Amino acid sequence: MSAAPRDERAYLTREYVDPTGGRQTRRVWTDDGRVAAFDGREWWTVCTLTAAQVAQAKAAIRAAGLLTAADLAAPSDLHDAADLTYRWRLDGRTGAVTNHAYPALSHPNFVALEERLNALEDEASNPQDGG
Amino acid sequence: MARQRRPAPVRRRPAPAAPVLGGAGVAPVELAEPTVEPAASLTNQAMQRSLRAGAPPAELVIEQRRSLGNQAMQRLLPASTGRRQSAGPAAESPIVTRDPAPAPALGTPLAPPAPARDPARTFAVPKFTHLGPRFDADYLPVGPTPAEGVLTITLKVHITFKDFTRAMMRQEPFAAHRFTPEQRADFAWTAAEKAAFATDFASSVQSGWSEKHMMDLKEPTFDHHRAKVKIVVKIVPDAAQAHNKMTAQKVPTVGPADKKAPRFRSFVQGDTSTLEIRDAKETEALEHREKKLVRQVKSFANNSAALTPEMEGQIKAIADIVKAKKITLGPDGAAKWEMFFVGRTTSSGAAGLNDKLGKDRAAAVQTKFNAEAGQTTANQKVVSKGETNAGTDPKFRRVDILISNMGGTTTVQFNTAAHEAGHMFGLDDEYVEEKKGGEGQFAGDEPAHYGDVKALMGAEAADEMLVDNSGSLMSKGATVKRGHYVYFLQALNDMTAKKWTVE
Repeated sequence: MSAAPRDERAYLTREYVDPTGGRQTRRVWTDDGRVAAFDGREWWTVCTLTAAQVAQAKAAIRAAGLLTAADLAAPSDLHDAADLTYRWRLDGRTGAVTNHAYPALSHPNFVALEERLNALEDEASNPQDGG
Repeated sequence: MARQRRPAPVRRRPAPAAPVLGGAGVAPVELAEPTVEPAASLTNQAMQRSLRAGAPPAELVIEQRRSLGNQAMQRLLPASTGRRQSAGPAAESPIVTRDPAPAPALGTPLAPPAPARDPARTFAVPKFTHLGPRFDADYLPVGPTPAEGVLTITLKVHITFKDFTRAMMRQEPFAAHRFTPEQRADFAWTAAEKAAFATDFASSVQSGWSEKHMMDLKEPTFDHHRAKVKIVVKIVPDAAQAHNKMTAQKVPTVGPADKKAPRFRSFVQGDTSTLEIRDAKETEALEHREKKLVRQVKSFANNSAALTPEMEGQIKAIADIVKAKKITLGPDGAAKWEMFFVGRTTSSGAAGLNDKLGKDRAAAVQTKFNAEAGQTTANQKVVSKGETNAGTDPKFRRVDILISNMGGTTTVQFNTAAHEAGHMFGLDDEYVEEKKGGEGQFAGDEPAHYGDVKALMGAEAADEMLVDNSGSLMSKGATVKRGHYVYFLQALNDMTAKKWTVE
């Protein structure tokens, strides 16, 4: 078990909330490179990004349009969807974007962001030896 | 004179063109049972007709025994079953389960036949059928009471099975889970799991919904009829025939209790749904706090805590409910009932000012309520939620009144399959889910089915549907309320052209 990351050092937080069961999970990316996850019971460290990878992660947030993205509302005929929220802190500003129709629908600004973040975490978890 | 028989009214879902009999736009009802004629018009010819159609119903045979005699009946019956009797006329009768009446003594007048039922007081057909976009309904009328008929609700579901994937491991809530090697090897559906899912889903929905209430028909000029409600789930191979097209999502189920993979968030959207493997059989333990009352009093004028005449009327109505139901506050065994006046505002204006305005509004409603109900402030609390999660809609200028058990919470085993089936039947959610900007559902809101319940069943049944975290099946519990049968009631009313009630 790891300590909870300090929110003020987080440039990105992902929160999942299940309205029926009240289940919550979180994933936090902090300036020191740490990527931590909360599974509803405890925190654990997923990986640690290098400074360069942190910069790439922040670039991916901007490139995904997260800073100007709007919430995705749930259609009126959709029942029991969960909320998936990204909270960001970048360039002296803060904000949040929520997909209220998760997992039935994907938020268009989340897809590319998640692909890039996953790739960075894979690199950090499996660093290639230099030649 | 033979009674006129008319085909039962049928409503069909849009379907490919098919041969139509009986008139344009109306297809005849497919009768599974032979018709039963009233006793007064029975003749040997009537029995012969039934025999040609198939095995005659028990009532017809019993009546023929009375009028023709036992030996005459035995000569008729063997020909219909195709079995020739070699001995013993009564030995092979396949239908009658009741002993025939003894022959009357000489000189004793025969008992008069049972009086015929007035056809104007009974249903003219033995079966009604309704084919709808969300479910089919069949009603077999049996009456008058104490005999009961059966309303069968059939939900046809087509299932597509979807394996778990590595890509899903990177998505919440699975991204926060540390998968064990055994779980990583448990991504694919097995044939046995598929079969069990289909069976268990049907069983969970049938047991969760069947026979929770009775349908009741009382009209002055019609025999009293009652009907049980049975739910049948049919898994159909053709998606075009299904009311709901379901994706069954595999999630690894192996592993110790404290390392289980999290539950996939199941959902229903329109005529599609996605449920995970465990939803068919495993319940979830959910907690809620019991309430005796959840109501909203609205709407205040902008920036005001003064009650309008309409709001005063609402408060009086709430006080009348509390008095009529003899609701008391304070300790009651393990429970401790407290009343909360929760003031709200829209999101306009400063948060600090809205906080105070919310409290002023709550205090105003409390004062008026206590005056109407003759209560004191004991076991009452005035709180303010201000502009929390509110939007700009004037509906947020209100006070929520709740009577909650603060002595503890109640745990209920939540049947996900039955809950999702409720959406398939047309019902909305009833649990609280406040979202920023005033979206979502707040305590005391009217769910989408509220209006239909109120129109068909009255305000008291509708008020049981108000949004609240409760033991209701469409909230976080397992209780099927009367109002949850609203669309079954609507189908029954439409089929029979009568006004039934749900008891």
